[in-house]
Amino acid sequence: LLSRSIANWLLRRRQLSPFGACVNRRGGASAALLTDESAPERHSLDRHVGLLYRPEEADWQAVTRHFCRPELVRLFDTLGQRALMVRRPALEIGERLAGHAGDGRPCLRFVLYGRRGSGKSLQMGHVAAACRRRGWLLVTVHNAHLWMRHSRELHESAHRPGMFDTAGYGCIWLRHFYAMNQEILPGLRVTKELSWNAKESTPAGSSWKEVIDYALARPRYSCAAVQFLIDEIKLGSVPMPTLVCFEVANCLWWHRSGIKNDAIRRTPLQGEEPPWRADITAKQLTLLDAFKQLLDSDWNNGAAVMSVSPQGALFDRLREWMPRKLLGDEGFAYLDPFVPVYVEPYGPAEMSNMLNWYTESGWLTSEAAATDAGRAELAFLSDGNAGELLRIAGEWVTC
Amino acid sequence: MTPTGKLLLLSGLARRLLAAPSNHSLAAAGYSNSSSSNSSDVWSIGEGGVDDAGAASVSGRRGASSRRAGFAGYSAADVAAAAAASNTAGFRSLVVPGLTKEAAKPPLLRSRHPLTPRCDRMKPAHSSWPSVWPTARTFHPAAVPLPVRQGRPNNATENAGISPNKWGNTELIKVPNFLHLTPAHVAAHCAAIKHLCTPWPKALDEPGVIDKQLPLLVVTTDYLRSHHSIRDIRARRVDLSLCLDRLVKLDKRSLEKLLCLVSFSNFAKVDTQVVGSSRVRHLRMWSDRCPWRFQNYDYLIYALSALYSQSLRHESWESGKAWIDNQRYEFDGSSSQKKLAKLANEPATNAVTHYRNALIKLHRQPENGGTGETHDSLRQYGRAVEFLLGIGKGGGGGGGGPVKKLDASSAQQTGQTKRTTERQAAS
Repeated sequence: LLSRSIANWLLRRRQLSPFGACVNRRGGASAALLTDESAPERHSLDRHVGLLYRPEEADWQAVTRHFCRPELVRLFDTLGQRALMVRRPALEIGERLAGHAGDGRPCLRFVLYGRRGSGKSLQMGHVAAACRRRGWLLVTVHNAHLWMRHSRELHESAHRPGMFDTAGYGCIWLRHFYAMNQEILPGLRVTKELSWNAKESTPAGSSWKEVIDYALARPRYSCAAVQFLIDEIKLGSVPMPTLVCFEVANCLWWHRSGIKNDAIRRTPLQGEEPPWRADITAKQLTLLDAFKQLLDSDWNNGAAVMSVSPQGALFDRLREWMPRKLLGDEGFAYLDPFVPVYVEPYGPAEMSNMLNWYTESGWLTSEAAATDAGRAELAFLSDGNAGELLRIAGEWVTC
Repeated sequence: MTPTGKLLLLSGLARRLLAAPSNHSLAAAGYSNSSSSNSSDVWSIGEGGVDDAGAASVSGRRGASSRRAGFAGYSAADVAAAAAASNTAGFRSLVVPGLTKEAAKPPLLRSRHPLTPRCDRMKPAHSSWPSVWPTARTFHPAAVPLPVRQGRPNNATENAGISPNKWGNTELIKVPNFLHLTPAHVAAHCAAIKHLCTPWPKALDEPGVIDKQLPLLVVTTDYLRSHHSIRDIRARRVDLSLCLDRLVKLDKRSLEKLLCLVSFSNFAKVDTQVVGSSRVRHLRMWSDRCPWRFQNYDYLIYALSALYSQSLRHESWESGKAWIDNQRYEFDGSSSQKKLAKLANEPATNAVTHYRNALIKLHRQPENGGTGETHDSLRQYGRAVEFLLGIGKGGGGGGGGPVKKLDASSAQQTGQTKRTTERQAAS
């Protein structure tokens, strides 16, 4: 009895203590603090903040991998192990979303903001992985600002006259969407007939996979397929909640783009003046406009998490990273009311934990990095910025 | 003629021919002939002998630009006098220049004693500089008791490699000097006009009284220039400053119009200082568009009058002002307010108030009463939104209900004409 009560007391103490979830592989002050809780939806604000966790393989391949920078993916491949930090912004958003499932709840909007490299996309990845494990449908867009810089098979839109389709990006996104939601998609049905053109249409009741297959076979209609699926989501025909993740959302309201309107090679019709080289902005691209509709608040049973970044300010080297400045008046009015979430730089505990992990995993090989002065210098040079720390740590090698 | 006589004649002729003409101009300038005390030296060059007792030779005190020598010369009368003096037995005596000692004779011209220049005779204890230099005048080296130098020699041999001194220095003459405006001069001027002045009103020393009594502040700047021209183009600029509270008859609408008009101009701005809970607004204008200072001042007074009178006038077309024309963010009429109507659940009044205050604080700049975009204002906005929508820690189960039904007229895409808008029943 006594041993059991002692065991219960120890267990409860471990559960209640802030680092009770921490599992150290070896003791000491320089050990990286890892948690064995690899399920993102079970991370809690009380116990797991500041600890590193290892994402599961399925989660990583399906979801989290897309939210990481290529450098980080390569780092994990090099080191042979993956560890991501559990941080406050993702947990706060996850907490809000946990009680939000269910029909009748309007779309919540969260805007992550912070300096470049502070970790906004990874926080979104944490939220996305947690929602996927809860069974939500994921709609994620990672490259909107790249879609605006180059045009891939640009042509005039048939389903939305006056706008332009980027068929290549539509196909790529549909493939990515399918890979992310492979378990859920077979159960989804289209509620109305989708007519691609005068002759061809997909009947109501067909599965989403059929729609995606059709669009992949006929790339010309890939953007139309995306639009149809988004309409379905907004109508509420999807039984589970939907999470929309949009990186660099401020490019949707940007006035510049890399696509000129004479990228379409066509001769002007009789009486028509040749078009002058204006930018085709996000307002005129059907793919981006479709996702912008998902960021609106007029649909139920879902949430949208987006980030704003100076990367979305195309051809303008902005040093600003606050959301209202990046979104502008129009973007702010569109997204209002939303909840801004600040992704702050690493605190001292997070920084030291990260440095410990880099040292243990073999990324920081310099001897100076083990000293207090070296660690202080790394912390100062990176200024708490996660991306900067990754880059600088890679430069500190034993010569 | 005897050979001696011939010699005499020749010598006399020679003397006559070679007699230096009396240089009247040199004499007038004070260059004296050599005195006859050195009569053995006929061609005595150099020191104008000075008769003044105690006065040293002047040439030593004159600088590098040495004076021309006094040219010794004899006139015909001198020769006759000398001959007459030495002719005792009816014979002409032999006068050999350089050998014969002759009696001193008084100089015919009163020798101008070369005076020490005034600058060397001035004694600080006895002289008053304003009386020496009462008004602006061209630099004169003899009157200014300062060893000033100006100029630069081209090489080490020119003027022994040092700057030329003040004597005959044209550069010093060309540039303006302020020797007529020393503190002694200023004191004398002030003393002369003091009886015309009234005392400074003591009441103006209290803080804020000057701003109240004399609201218009005009700032002009004078520049000193060490250049061949003393003019400075920046001296034409005039700055004008006025507290907006002093403009009477400016109601809210007129003030807004004035701020709008000022925002269009490139020579006026309104500075807002937040002092505690109140705002002090200053209208600041500047002008350097006219070449002269008084023209710029007149222009600023005109511009101020025009600005004021136009803000008091209200045209009929001003009623077409839209929400976007507001000088500062207004919640009423904004799209955020319109979106509140779209929420199905009527939000609580205090939630709307929090939301409104947070938006105002976020959008308005500090001079308009808000804080602009900061982490704090964004966090406050986020909390207000969570309260409004009923999410977050506070309102877990509360409001933010289903969105209103979309009807056919609000279909988002124009191209979807074949679709029928029907919704599945909410489960």
